[in-house]
Amino acid sequence: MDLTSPWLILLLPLCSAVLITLFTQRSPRVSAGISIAAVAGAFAVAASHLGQVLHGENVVLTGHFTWLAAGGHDFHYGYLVDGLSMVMLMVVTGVGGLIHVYATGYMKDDPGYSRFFAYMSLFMFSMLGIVLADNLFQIFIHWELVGVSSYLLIGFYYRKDSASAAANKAFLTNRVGDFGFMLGILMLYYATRSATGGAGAGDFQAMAQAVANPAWLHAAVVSVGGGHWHLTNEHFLWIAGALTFMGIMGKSAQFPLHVWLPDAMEGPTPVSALIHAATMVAAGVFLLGRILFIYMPSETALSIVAHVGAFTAFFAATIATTQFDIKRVLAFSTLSQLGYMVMAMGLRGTDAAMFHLTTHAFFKALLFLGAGAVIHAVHTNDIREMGGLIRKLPVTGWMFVIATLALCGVPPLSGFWSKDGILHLTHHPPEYAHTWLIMLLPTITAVLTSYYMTRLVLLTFFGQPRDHHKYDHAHEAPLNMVLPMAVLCVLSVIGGPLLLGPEVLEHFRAITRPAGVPEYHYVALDAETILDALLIFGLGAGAALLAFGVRAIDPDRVKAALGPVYRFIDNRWYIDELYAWIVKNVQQNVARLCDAFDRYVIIGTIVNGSAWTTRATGAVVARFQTGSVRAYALLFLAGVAALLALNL
Amino acid sequence: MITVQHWLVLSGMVFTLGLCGVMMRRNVILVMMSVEIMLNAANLALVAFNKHLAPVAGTVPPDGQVLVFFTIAVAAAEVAVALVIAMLLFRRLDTVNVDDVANLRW
Repeated sequence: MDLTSPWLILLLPLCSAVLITLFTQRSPRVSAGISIAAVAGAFAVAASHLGQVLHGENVVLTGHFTWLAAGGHDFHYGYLVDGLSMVMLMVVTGVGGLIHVYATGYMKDDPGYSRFFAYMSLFMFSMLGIVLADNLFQIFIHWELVGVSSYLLIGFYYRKDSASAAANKAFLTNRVGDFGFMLGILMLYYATRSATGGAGAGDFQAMAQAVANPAWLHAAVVSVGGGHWHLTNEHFLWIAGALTFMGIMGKSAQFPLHVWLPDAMEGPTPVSALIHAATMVAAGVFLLGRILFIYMPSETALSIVAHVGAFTAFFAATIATTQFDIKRVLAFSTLSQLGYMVMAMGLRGTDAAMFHLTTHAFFKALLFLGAGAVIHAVHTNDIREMGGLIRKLPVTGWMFVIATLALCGVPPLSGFWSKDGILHLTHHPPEYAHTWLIMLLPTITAVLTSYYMTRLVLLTFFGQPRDHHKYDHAHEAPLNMVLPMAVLCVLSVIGGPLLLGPEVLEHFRAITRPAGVPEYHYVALDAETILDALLIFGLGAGAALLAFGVRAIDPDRVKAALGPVYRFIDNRWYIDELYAWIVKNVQQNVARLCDAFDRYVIIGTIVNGSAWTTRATGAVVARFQTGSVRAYALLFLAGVAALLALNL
Repeated sequence: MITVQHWLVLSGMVFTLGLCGVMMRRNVILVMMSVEIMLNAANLALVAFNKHLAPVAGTVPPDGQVLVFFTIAVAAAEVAVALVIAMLLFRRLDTVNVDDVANLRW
């Protein structure tokens, strides 16, 4: 195997996870070393193919082996490296590697140090499997694997009740989405099976070719009513696409399956940064880009995707304005930004979505790592107990500020370019998305984003310390935590055209745009765009500054004036309560009904009934076992006579 | 002229005799002897059929006669086992009356 084989990208983290679990549980430093080496190796292998991309070639590497062949069904396990997965590979291994280094400092002296790195490697393996997968079934396997590693890492402090509850919540919520995802995959496979020729089941390239064929699209799958009503492949794709989107909503935490992500912040902060901000939750966006071709024939499906994304972006941003837990504010911000990406996918802007995914991975990871450094210093998550920390943690603080500006889309930081791309899309949406939800909400969301992020920065780092005891004990994070943050900070600043130059950026967009997606020109660096961005930032940040900086407005009076609206938002729109109510009143009753069915019909009638029949029959037949040899002889004779009589 | 029918009637009579012995006798030795009588009745029928089908030796394979040898061999083995059972019964329960041995019941 040559050293640039994409298989290595998968194998290295897997070997690392196995090695740490089996051999180095007791030597934390070795475990961390193995884990970091595996990520660095995967990064190097991925980067060895980057040159081609940067030189303007669209690299496509494929390879597979047959994992399972059953009847006419061929299931492959393989890799497909193209522009889309290349971008994702760099983000996952690059940001992942930095966070691994950071974790060596953050997790210092934790009794589960080796276990942590074993889980992280397992996660890297699972995630890279999604990125590299060349077919839907492989994606599903790795989809579940990242679910498991996410579960393990959220519940890392498993002695804490809230952590294990959050882990369960994440897993169960994803179950709901994955149920639809599974059905969607099976439907897609069923529909495209005959059209994909000799390729493996659910192969992306073969499926894309099948879908691109209009004759296939309009061929009937099912005919009802003597041929009057046809269910064509196009309808089939529509339904399958909507079902598959359920899986994406679960993993990328889109409304209404978003409830697990804020709770997932129970995990260690490096986990929040890597899995629940930068990479795993972006898997749904990546998958949307991978299979956008199944949504393309139906504008309704695309419109659903776009609207779910737009609503999630707005919804989460409103909640973020009321939270006091530093990680929860960032979690809701992540939800909101994921909403942007999903919406961009729904507007057929794969390139804009992937660009935002990349820059978001940089600055959101940095924000989480900064939050981790703050928590490390003051041992609390509550921003009401912080304040003035910039004097104690100047490096962390200023990097946090830069990441905030990037997230708010202040030019010329990376977030400006990617966010502008998406906002531009929403101002000139395709016909099917000409609704106020798409055209207005994202811009309002951008203002809200500036507001809650400025509020967070002001409450955490500026003003007077509100808890002097905690303030006095705060200290700057060690070097192995600050260094990865510094790298991410540089990337957050120059992660746009500053890093690559406009031509490369255009190329980046070209390779992440599948064939048939209309092209948009949005990297328009004119005065108007910059003014718009600054205006959006100024509105939000100004409001926050008035309330929490110079205290010209008393936040408590605003709270009181808003009354029920504030309570509604503060309680996260009562979504969790709604689910609790549904579980208690609907699901519990259905469960009771099933229980009664099980108790009386299955157990009472079928199981116990057959046992009772057997016993009753036995009681009658046992009478023949008299023990008398001569009686047996007589019965034997009768039996022979009966057989003879029957035959003659 | 003695035809196959005559032999079959004789065989049937011997069989019934044995059957009655099995049904009525209580002494385990006599029951076993009756079983042997039944087996011999069957042997007789086999030989008779063989002769009926092949009046001249060699025209059809002597299946019936070969089968009789099997029966005799099996009967010998069976008697060996059965006599041991009878002996053990007598040693343990001090009886050869089959009606006394009815412990294996429901």
